[in-house]
Amino acid sequence: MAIVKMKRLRLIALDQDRAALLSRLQHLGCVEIGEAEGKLVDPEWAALLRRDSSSSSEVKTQLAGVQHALEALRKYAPTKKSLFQKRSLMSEQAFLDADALASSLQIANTIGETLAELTRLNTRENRLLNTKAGLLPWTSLHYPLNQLSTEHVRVTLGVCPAVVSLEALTQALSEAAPLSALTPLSQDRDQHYLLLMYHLSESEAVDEVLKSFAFSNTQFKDLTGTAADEIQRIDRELADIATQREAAEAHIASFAENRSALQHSFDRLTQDLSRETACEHLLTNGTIVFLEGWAAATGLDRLEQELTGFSCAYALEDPTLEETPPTLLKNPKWMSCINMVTEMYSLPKYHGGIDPNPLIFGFYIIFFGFMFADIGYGIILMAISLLITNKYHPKNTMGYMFHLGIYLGFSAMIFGFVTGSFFGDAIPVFSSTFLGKDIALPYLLNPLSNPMTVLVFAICMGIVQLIFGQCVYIYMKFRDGDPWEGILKVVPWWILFAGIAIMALKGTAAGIWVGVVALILTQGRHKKGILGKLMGGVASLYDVTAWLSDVLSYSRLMALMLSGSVIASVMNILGALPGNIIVFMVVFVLGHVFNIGVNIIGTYVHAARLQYLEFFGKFYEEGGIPFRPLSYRTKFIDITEEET
Amino acid sequence: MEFLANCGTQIGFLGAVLSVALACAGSGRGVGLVGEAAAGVLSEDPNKFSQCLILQIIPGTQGLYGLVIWFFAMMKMGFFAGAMPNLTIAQGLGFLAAGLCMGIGGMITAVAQGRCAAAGVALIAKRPEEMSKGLIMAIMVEFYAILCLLASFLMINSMGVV
Repeated sequence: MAIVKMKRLRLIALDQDRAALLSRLQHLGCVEIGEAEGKLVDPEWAALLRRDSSSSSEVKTQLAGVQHALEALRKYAPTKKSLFQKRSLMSEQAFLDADALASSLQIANTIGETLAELTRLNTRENRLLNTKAGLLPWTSLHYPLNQLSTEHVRVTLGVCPAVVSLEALTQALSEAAPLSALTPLSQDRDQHYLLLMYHLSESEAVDEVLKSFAFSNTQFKDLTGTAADEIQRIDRELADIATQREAAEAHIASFAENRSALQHSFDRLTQDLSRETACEHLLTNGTIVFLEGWAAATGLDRLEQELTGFSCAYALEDPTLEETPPTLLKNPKWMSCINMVTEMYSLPKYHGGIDPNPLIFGFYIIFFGFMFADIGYGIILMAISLLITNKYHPKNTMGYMFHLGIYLGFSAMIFGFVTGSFFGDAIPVFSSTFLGKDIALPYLLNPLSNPMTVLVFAICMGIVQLIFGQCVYIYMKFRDGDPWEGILKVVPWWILFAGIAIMALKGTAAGIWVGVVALILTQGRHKKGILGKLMGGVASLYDVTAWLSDVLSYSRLMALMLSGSVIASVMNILGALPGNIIVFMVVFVLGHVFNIGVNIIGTYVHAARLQYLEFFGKFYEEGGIPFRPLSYRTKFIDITEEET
Repeated sequence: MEFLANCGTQIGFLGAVLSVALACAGSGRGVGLVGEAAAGVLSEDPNKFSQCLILQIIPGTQGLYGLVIWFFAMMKMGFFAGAMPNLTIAQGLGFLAAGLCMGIGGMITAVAQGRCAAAGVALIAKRPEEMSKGLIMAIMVEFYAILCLLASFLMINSMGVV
């Protein structure tokens, strides 16, 4: 229920123990290894130690290989895609098994070679297709392509642009070189494909003419047969490539059963990589390594016990105020799902911050339920969340999301009983349309007929939360040894609010004036000079508008509650209009799926926004850096807890 | 002159029509804006289709809200009861005002939301894991369309069946 205390850890160990030490730290998962490089700026440190090297590039290569293999399997041996990965369980010992890794790497290697083979085949295919496209215009020529000329006659193939008039070319040729013949073979949008024969004695004259008609020679150096022969040969080769490719793809697909082994090695290598990366933060002189970082107080016992197994010296110190330790929030498991809301905003500062999770947990769930109020919607949300949580055990943000969904669904259901809505007004509409009876759920408060009461409720909840936020502020100031700051900042406002309340109930404005005077006297306390203090106090009266907008902001609770039930009831009316039960069912399902979809996102965001802007604005010190210990972070496998 | 005295129903219809037409025009533009941005991203990475699609449908809701108000107004005017409704000019103007609220609010928020969601698509292109944040930015705009929907709805609701 608090921000976990951090200790600065400085540790010197033998270089030979480095790998084992890092493995154990990763197993513990409660030490964040920081950048010790800053130390090297100091010449005395730099004279003794240097940055440690690591074999991270090697691990990265292996990891990339496994990744490619997994992608190839996804492509050539696709499995049914499910939204959630079901993680497999594995003991730490099995997870770290070296033989399993070696055999997976072997497989990844084979798949990688086959992928390279596929790339080669594709390159060859492209080249052949290009050659074939170049040959197609010449198919009407029944002579071998590279031995056309004779002793006295030069025979060339060539192209000229389609805009050139062939008649003019023939004319010009026959005038300049009577012993020449031009045969057009084919033509496409861009070019004429031509066969030209001329006597060698006239070659200069021919060249002259050809230049002026932008004629260019086409040569086929490596092709010995006729164009048609060559195309046939290429087609045979292409067919051959296709079979080879199929074989290669089948070869990759045959490794489908090794998918989980590859996933295992992917996770394993990711852990190795994070260890190697941590290694780069160490300083060494060849015999010892120096490690600096943060250790979470929750794991200190286990850490110290673990370190007794190594020949090492270490110091654990409380952080000074100048240092910025990372923030880790510790809450009971049933409450930790609200982390999702906190993390999306910002973690609290380590110094002077407060763990917001217990503070917003209740408010968030109540606000969400208030806006989403519907028995049917609540049950659906709760059921889906329960199902996914129990079946797939999602981790981290996903896990938080569905865990939170259970609470949110329950809360929406409770508020649904208050407003008497079950898929909006589905029951009254259905019964009056199809059963001819008027059945309605009992309710305490109908938002559609009585929106003003809902608005008053919403505003009241807002005021409660804002005042609570101020109380938290006072608590924080007391905790940090500055109680007067907390009291002076908050209490004058309370006097003003009390005055407003008295004004509303009794009609006497005296209380308000007391509040105003209290604000003027106190709110400028940080300014210099009597005049400055007074001016600051007067200026603080302007904050009344900020309070007004904060309080009115809670009217969104009413707005979203109403809009949800309005859309729901419109869907019901729309479905019931034709008086056909099948049409009703179709419209009912589509309409309510839409309404749930739009509402759930909107409600989630607005419930969160009320915490972030209105509530946190009263006390929160954000800007904490998340604690990222060296630990196992896996994607496919859950490592079961066991002490070794 | 006689027409001017009896055109209350037509003014009411105008309100209903403007609600759906303006809101749909805005939604169309908004969805189109996101679609353009999404197509650009998909040319690089077709796998992001589903993420882009979610962002694309967000500005579509205003059109639906417009239709909801149209439907509700027509129902209140008694259009679905079979006979042609007969409204006074004052009643007609009431429906016009209510329809304009949803129409104008819906149109402008839909375009704004479309821009915001298109920027969200650009976010997905670079950092697909941050999609939820892009989604939230776009959803913030939705609130103001919901307020318009609510205002229109409450006005029509209080008019009583004609």
